[in-house]
Amino acid sequence: MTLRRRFRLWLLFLLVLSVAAVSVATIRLWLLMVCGPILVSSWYLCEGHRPLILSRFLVNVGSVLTLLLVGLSWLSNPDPGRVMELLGIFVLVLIVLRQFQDRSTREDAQQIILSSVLVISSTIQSDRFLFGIILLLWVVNLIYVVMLFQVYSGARHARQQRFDCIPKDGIPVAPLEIRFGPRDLSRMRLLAFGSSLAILLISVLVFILFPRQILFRSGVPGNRSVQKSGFAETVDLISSERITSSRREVFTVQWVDPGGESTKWARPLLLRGAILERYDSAVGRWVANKSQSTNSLVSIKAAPDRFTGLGVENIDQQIQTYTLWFEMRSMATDIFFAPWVPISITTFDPREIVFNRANMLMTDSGRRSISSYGGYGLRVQPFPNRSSLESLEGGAPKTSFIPRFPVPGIREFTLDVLEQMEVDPSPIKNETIWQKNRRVSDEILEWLENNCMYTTDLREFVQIAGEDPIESFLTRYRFGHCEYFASALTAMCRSVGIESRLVTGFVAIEYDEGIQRYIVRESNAHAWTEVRTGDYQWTALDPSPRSVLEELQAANESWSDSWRWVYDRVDFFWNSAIVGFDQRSQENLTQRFAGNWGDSFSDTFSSLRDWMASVNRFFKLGIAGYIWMAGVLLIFICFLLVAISILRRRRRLLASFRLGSGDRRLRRRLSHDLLFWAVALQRLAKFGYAKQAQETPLAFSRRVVEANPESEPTMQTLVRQLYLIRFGGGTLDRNERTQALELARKIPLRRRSS
Amino acid sequence: MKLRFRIHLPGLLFILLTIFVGLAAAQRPNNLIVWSFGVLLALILISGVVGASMMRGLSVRRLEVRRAAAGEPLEIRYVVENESRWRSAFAMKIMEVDHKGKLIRFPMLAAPSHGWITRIGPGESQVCDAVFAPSQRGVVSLQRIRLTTQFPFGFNDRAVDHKNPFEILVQPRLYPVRGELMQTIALGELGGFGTSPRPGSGEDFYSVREFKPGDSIRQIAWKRMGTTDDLLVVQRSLSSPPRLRVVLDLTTAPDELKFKPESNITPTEIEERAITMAASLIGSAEQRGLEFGLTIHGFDSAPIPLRRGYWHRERALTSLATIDLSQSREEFDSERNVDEERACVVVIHPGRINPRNSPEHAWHWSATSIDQLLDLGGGSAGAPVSEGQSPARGQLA
Repeated sequence: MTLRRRFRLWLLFLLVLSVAAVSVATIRLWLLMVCGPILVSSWYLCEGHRPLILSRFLVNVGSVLTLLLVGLSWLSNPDPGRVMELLGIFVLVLIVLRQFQDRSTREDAQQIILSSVLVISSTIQSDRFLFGIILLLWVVNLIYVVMLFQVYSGARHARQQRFDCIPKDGIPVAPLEIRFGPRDLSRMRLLAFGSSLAILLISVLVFILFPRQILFRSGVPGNRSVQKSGFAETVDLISSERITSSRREVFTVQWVDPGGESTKWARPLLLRGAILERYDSAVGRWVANKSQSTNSLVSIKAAPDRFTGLGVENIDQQIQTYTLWFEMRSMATDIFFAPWVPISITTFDPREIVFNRANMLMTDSGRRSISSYGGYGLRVQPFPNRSSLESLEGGAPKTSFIPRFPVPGIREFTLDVLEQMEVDPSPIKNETIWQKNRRVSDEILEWLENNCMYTTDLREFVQIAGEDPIESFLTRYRFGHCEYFASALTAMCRSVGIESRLVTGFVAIEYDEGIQRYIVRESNAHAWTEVRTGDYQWTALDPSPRSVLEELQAANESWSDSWRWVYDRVDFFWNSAIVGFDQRSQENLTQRFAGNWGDSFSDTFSSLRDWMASVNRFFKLGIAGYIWMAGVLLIFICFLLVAISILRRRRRLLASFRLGSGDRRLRRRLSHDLLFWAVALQRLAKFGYAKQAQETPLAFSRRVVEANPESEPTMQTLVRQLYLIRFGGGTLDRNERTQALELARKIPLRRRSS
Repeated sequence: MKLRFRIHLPGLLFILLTIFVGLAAAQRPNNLIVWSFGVLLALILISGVVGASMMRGLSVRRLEVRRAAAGEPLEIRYVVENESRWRSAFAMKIMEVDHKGKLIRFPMLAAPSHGWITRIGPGESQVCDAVFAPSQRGVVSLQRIRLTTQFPFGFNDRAVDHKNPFEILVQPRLYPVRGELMQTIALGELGGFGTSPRPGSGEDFYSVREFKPGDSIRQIAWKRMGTTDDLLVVQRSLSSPPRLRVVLDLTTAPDELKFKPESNITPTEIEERAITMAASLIGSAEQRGLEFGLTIHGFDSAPIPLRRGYWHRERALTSLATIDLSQSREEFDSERNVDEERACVVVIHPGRINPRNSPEHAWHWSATSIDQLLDLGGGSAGAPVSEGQSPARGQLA
């Protein structure tokens, strides 16, 4: 393969990688599916003997049209966030078009630059693991392609210049022959590999040392990593984009009964992550209250079997206490997902947890990095008694109040529904308010299950201007996903005076009998409602039909699920170690390294000191023993330096006679007998008479003698001996060898002027 | 030898891009941008380190230039050696620079190209060549050879200058003499083939001598064998080709030259034309096998005797190449008069013809009529006479 074809092939690969990068970054696989084959086809159409190429005019027209379309698209929606996306599309089209034209080296360079622009613009948009892999491949390929380009364009330029410098009517000269064989290629590949390695190492160093702000906000639940798992601390009903069907494993949960057996719970586990108590009807969004007055700090020392109680007082653990073991698979988060009601917790690393006693949510305090977060264990009581709850909430019960829901029309609608169902929204007979809450909310739940349809396809759910999405769901569409169901239940309960709140988290529904664990995936992100049914008691009500959830779960299962964990593990590492690397990680790393190095140095030093003391004791030398040892060490170092110097000299000598792979005995003999020549060469080089590779020793000695006539007898003797030993089979005895060395060291020379 | 770094536009743009990405990395909490910034920084660093280490241990020298003539491509060959034990050097350019380190761009070497080496391995030496197109005769003085590379990423140039003073003598450009002019000159009054008083391969009888082993049987003088017992062979005389003496009259100072004013032509240029005419005449004479000699009036140079052959032509052309027109002119030297020779004499005058000091039978050519006497643009599209070519063929029939 010629240099040109090789370069073009690798350039094509680079372009395909950049298209893959942009399609992964923007999550548009169709870009790769469309542009990839088009780019690949350019190799067959444009690089053959009869290339089918586009004219420059067509390419320019295509570029201008694309620019116009992109400009119009931006004008129709002038969102600054779209600039990089539109730039990416424009550059992508430009790359594809130019790939089909007859390109000069300058235009090849432009293709490389366009590819770089495409990838850098994608880097700003994405930090996914797959994108990172593609980026890494792209960088390594870029290094090789640029090296090839330097050789290719330089050779082409030299050839063209040679052609141009001769007048057209002048005598022609032979064109420049470009020699680039397999050996050259392998050397270049080696250099590219070495450079890539060095570049990656330096870039990792820069990555570690680069000053950053803390990515994970201290004490605030929810972070970027959490957003990537499908779970969020807000529910936005207007732009419901985060419903995902991703089968990525987020974590696994082992449910251990009081007897110590792993088992499956009778109902899906609702793992709480965020409590959303406030509804902003203006934007159709549920948000959490940011009150931190009920937070308390819990410190956990690393011991997986040692649980730390969350209650103010000790909780009786004999009451139906189950144990849950969470193993994080692909998410580094500061939220501890837990079912109702956690009474104690343990982690694999020392942690500090902020426990909110009002809603029993747990988050990391943010004082330590969570990049090494591997999992945690929880003890929970599904049916806690009052004393447990009192201990957990740590004070007087929260006062009850009659809530209102800010959307007009919901209350009337709910009352109509209850009337149709013949349910009285106020307490009946001796019914307490908590019993009434339970009864009415159950009725509303039943109505939702019977009258609304669960679906994740919201294409027909058109938002009506001025109409609240919950109202639209209840009165107009009656279909939606868990967020709509939970929002509707919460809204309806609140509208008739029942205290309720929206909860987001994960639902553990898929149980793997093989490993006896629940597998929680991104698609298991869920929302449900909690209704207050006691002074401390909140009851979880999930209006999403369980059967539909199970059907969806089964429908999404595929053969790749069993192997997905491998990818998810790496992805988890990516998210925790790369994407989540922040200032705190830098501090931890520094402490770890400083500690390790300091410890290992002090250990080595103390063991050396002990050894020296033991040797001293053995010989009974006292303080003089240390001086002896220092002397021996010094001699050893000197001996080592001399040995290295001799070895280097011999190697140089053998290299100068091209004896690298010759007869071993001959090499050994010559390296002894011709040592004087190496010394002579060294001395001559010091005086400015370096021997050229193509010079014979005789020619070299003549050159030296010409400049230094007084050195003639010495040089003649040395050269004669050299030829005698090297080519005449002669040997030197010990005295002769010493004499030759003396001669070589005393060649009378004058320093050569530069 | 000092390693020079020079950042050019792509490198500057790359540094700007790196700064931009660095700023973006500082602003956005995206670790991939931070890593990209690290990669960009590392690319700059590795580019400098690899490029600089490649240049270490490299040496370059020129090989002897055999011949250079105006209008002909001049190939200068270089030997590049890599004394490194491990490192290969890639994409090396070799170019000629002056003592200030600037690329040579003067009229004598218009449009220089550079030598190119794709890769030179550790301990290897390679020969490469650069082609120049000298446009004028004269002495070209070369000072330094520059080894430069943009490898591996093209952000900057690394260059090392190697001192290697060298002079190249560029001979005048040769054109074929027009039509039958050369034949007329060759077979003119004093020209034509003759016999020389030496044995050779001609047709005329020269003498007889004793037979030696290896002599042809056809050469035996049978008639003489009748009178003597010795075996004798006939020796023929050496044929002598026509002789041509080219006399270049440069005695008139340039500012005193008289010639028909043409557009934009200077006295020095008209003298150069005269030199070109002399060189072309000598070139054509050598092509036709004539004996030729050269006399230059106006400068202190010995007349070149009448001889023939390639090396004699080179001698004459070298003499013409070394003329320094900026020197002061000498008066006509009567001792160099060529009346004694039996040769056709062509006197070339830069300006108006002045036959005052010339032999009576001499031809007089003026440099102003160069286009009538020489085929400047005809033949092979004005290609000058050179080795391996016979442009006179067909034109001088």
